[in-house]
Amino acid sequence: MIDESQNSLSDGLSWLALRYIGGEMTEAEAAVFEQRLGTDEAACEAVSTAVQVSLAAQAAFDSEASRSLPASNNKTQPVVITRVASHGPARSARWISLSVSALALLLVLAAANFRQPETASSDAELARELAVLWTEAGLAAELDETEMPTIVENNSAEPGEERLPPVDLVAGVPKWMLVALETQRGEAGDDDEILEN
Amino acid sequence: MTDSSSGPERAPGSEGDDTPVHVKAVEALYREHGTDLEAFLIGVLRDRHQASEVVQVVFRKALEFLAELETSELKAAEGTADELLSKWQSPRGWLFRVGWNEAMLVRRVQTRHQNLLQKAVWNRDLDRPEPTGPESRLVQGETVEAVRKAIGDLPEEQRNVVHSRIYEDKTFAVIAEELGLPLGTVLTRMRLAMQKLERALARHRDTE
Repeated sequence: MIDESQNSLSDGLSWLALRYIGGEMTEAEAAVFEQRLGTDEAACEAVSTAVQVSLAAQAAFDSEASRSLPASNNKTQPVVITRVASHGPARSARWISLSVSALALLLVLAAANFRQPETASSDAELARELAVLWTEAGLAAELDETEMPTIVENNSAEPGEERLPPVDLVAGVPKWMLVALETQRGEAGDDDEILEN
Repeated sequence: MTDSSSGPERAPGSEGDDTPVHVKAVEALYREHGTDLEAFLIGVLRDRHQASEVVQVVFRKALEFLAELETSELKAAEGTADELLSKWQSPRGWLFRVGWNEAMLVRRVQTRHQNLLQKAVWNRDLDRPEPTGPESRLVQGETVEAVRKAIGDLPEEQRNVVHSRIYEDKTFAVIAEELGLPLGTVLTRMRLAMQKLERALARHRDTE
């Protein structure tokens, strides 16, 4: 049977030990208690127990906190989304690059429609430029096809006109572009014959 | 712990290998009392690395003492570690006493000990050992689980005080202010809670 007075004394010592390791004692109190530690094995035991209980309790709270981490991880999803969104500038750069290429191509086409070629060599250069520009635009579209839905749709004809034929990237230059060049050559007269030769 | 250079050389003894009896005795001593001694020294020094070093010093002295005891009390190749330890009156008390003296030597060379005494053992600003270090032996998973269950069994008002004091490292005065309670009430709750946790730890050790 447990002696109540012993139990009470033990509780008092445990409480002193807890206050000691918790830094809750004044300097004077700590000095007195430390004098006791030098001679009283029970006081040493009480300190040892208080430390072990406290550290185990702290570890238990730590483990509780880590168990609740999955819920807090869900809260970090917006961060992940932000990181994905941070790829946006690179994607935007590709869009801009492709748009500029397409715009340049349209400008060149428009200019070709309104100008009268003076020599066969200038037509040949124009054809090469067109081919290069178109190939670049086509390759860019092939690299990121899903990001370019509007560009592809913008290539459609005006209402009432026929849609442009599909781009044949293997051939490099689309047939409709070659037809346009052929037409220009026909209007250029004798110089076109030189080009054909 | 396994330094046998200070002890007498022995032929293979009754325990089946070449390990001197006094080395086996100090190993048994360490298994039985090492954790408690280290916890005590952490409480005194508030520094787990220093506590660990002092533990090593204490058991080195224990090894020397047991080597002398073996020479004087046991005949070669006859005694066992248990027999040797039975010749030693209260080794646990000796370990705590020598540990205290060594800790005081360490404290004398550091000037910040009074500041340290104002900090709790569980303060996270104090140094913490690596996960594979002494802490893993001091706070083993099964022990933590036993204490975790005991914490779960505490009345909520006691559990909150323990959490605030040990996990959040709030002083009792701050806890009392936050809860709008007299300081004595907070102290009583903490005291009752710690008694329960100590009993849970003791029960856990008894079942080990």
